[in-house]
Amino acid sequence: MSAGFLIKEGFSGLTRAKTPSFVAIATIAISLTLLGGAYEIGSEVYDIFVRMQSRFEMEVFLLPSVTEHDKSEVEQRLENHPQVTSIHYVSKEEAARRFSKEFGEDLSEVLDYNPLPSSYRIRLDTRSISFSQITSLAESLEKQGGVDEVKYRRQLLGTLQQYYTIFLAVGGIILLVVLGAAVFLISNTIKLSIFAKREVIEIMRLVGATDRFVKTPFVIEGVVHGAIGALIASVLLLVIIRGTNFLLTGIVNTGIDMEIWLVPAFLGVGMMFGFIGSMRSVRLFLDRTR
Amino acid sequence: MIDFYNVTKNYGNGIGVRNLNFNIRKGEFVCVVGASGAGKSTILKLIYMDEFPTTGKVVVNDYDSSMIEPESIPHLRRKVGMVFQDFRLLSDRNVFENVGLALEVMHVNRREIKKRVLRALNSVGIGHRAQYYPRELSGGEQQRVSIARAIVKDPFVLLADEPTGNLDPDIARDLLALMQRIHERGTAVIMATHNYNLIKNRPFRRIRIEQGEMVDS
Repeated sequence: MSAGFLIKEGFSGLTRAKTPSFVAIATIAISLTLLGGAYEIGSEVYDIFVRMQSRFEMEVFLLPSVTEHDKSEVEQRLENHPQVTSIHYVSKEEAARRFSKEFGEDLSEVLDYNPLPSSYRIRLDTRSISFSQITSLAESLEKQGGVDEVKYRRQLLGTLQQYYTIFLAVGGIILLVVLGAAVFLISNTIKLSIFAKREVIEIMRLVGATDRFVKTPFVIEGVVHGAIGALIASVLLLVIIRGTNFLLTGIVNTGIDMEIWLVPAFLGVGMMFGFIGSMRSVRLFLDRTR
Repeated sequence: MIDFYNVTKNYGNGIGVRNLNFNIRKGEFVCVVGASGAGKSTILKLIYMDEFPTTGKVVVNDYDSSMIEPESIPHLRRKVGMVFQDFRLLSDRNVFENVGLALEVMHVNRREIKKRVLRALNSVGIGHRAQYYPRELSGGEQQRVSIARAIVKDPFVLLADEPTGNLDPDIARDLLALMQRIHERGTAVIMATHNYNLIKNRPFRRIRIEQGEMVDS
């Protein structure tokens, strides 16, 4: 069996056709770097959204006349709500302490009574709840006995949810466009590199090579191109991310670092691109020249 | 061994060959003679089934052009040696690798390839050039490599399409003598040429083609 010959042929294509190999590897590396970069930025922005949305705060202010019964009803209501992640009761005294901490003024020195109401500070995970559901939660809490008013950053929440939807749509489109461009670029580069080797293909067929025999070295070469391109992309992305972080030191902390699982993911995607691209291109070439 | 039955091949831009009927027997040396564009190359392409008749059929041993499956064509070509005017050697492989390629595609093992390639190279008088690259060889030497590649697989027929077309007359005569020696060892040879002077005093059967038609055999 000539498996050794076919594997050797596949690898030697790298040195025999240096320019097409270089172009194919560079295309795969650049495409994967772009994809990886788009993913990293996207996932970081996504994390910011998630952080903001999962820690959204709402304050339920209580009337001075609130009874223990009212409070326990409010508490029960909040505890039973699936999107409420934490509940903290702020007594009038604690509110006064917070006030003096924040404003540096002791209320008891200015007024002879404590005007601040007691309240519940709650955290909501707003990822799986719509703007209107939050509004209706707030409205229903306001109707609860002993509740004076419910405050939350209504406008911020609306904007956040609106931008989150836009981000998901635009991010998805950008990722698809980059992916489409990568597939198009890689498949065309492989087509060109196979066209550059049409002489080898023609001669192999003349001396009696089967289509599978002709195809195998090109497919091996495509997979090797994919693997090398993926490794280069991993290094390139790491350098870009670390370089950006370094340049932005002291200005902004991006908090972005390359996720290690991207290396095997790049390898998988790169080798798959190489495999499918070369398989498809060589088959098209063989069919066209038959 | 090779039979043409009412073979016509039309190309989009004009006729290739028309109504050919002939038979080539085992071990024959046949020259297909005619001017450029007469249809000589088409006849050879029809034999190694790079082209198929528009009407009629070509039968090469057990391979019938009207019934052959695409997967069987490589198997036919492993039994047919081919030599071209432009040599068709791979410039990025040395002489040994160029000749060995014909056996690699047949899955012959490494040791056997080495033995048979060196034997073929020596039989065409070029064994000492095994490690050279085609660009380092003269035209005559390159054609010998191409002949070695054709005979290394012990074909039953050697098809040569204007094999001396790019060579000096002396070298052309040497190559013809080489093909005669191959023929004497039992391989049929079909050579297409427009150079009538090269073969006029030789005892070869001639098939004369003019504008795609056979005028003399």
